Amino acid sequence: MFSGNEPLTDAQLEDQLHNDAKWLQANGISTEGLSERDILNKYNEIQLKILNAKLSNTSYFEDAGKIFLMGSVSQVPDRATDSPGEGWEWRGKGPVGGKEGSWYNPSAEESLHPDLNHPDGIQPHWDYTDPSGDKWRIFLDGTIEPK
Amino acid sequence: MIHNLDNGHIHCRAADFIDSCLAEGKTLASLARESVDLSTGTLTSVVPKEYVGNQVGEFDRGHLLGEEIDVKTSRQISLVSSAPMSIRTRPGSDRELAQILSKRLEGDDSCCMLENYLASPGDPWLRRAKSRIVIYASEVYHLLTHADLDKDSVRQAIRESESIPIFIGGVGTVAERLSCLTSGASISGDDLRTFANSLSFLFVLAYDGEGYLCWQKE
Repeated sequence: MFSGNEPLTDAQLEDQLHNDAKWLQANGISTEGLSERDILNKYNEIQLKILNAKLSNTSYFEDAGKIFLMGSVSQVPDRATDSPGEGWEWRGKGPVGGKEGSWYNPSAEESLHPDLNHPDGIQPHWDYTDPSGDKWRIFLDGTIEPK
Repeated sequence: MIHNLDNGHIHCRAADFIDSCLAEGKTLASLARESVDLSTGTLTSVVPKEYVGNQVGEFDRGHLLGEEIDVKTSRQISLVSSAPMSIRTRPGSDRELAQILSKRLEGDDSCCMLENYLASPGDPWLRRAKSRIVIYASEVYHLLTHADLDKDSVRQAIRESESIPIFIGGVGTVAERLSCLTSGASISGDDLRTFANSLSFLFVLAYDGEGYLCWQKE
């Protein structure tokens, strides 16, 4: 049985490295040009930032000049009718993707409301309310603005 | 920042906007629509202080994107492995709304109900909710009483209940029995109707979530 004290075998290390790199990429953090050691360090650094943000009750963290939200949304859909991911449900009146409802994650209390036809001055975006209640605009290019 | 909207044309448009939000809401919104006369009473808006000119009169859209934010209102945070940096966050109007509601809860029999447009009674997060939840049929409401009048409790309830596109709430009175309810308890349609009939203050979310429109009984 693995006690946690032994050093990782090469195979375990390779698995760990693969999972860490995959997690970073899935969350929009580039691993391009990073060595294996850099990937492990980067993963640990990000996990520390997430932990720190949680401890300070902050709903986002910063890495390399980009803001990352703490909710479960890694990328907003291009179309209002598309679900942001597993566990999300359409709530509200009217048809799915309509202006009278939102995508809603009932486990975390976060929501995404499509505002893809906003009047002049504000580009198409999603209104995101994160689990702590902070509100953000997420644009289709991934740019985030606090509301 | 609070703006008075009692000037003729803008009063009518504000009343229409509030009415359209109530029409989209759930049971409390619907009952409030029947009981509140928007043509009488005072209408105000609660908006960020950066709003200028005609922006206060454009209720159906946000206005702050790309605006310069006062550095003094930015929040400073420090992260491990990173030099202290400034994240631009806007002072939300919810803080000002919380102050208004808190003030209105000073009466012993006052209470505030916030309609949660998106939540359902079985949602897992409700078990972790910090505000008092009451259930009517398949709808979720957040209840604040005189005992919850401190601004932090009110703001917490706003943050848990506020949802885009529809968010409404009001201050009125309820029977003493209801003010003692524990979180998760059920209320009846008659309870909601009694509360709606007693409303002295009502608000709806406006400006794409950046502010609120309010009605106050004369």
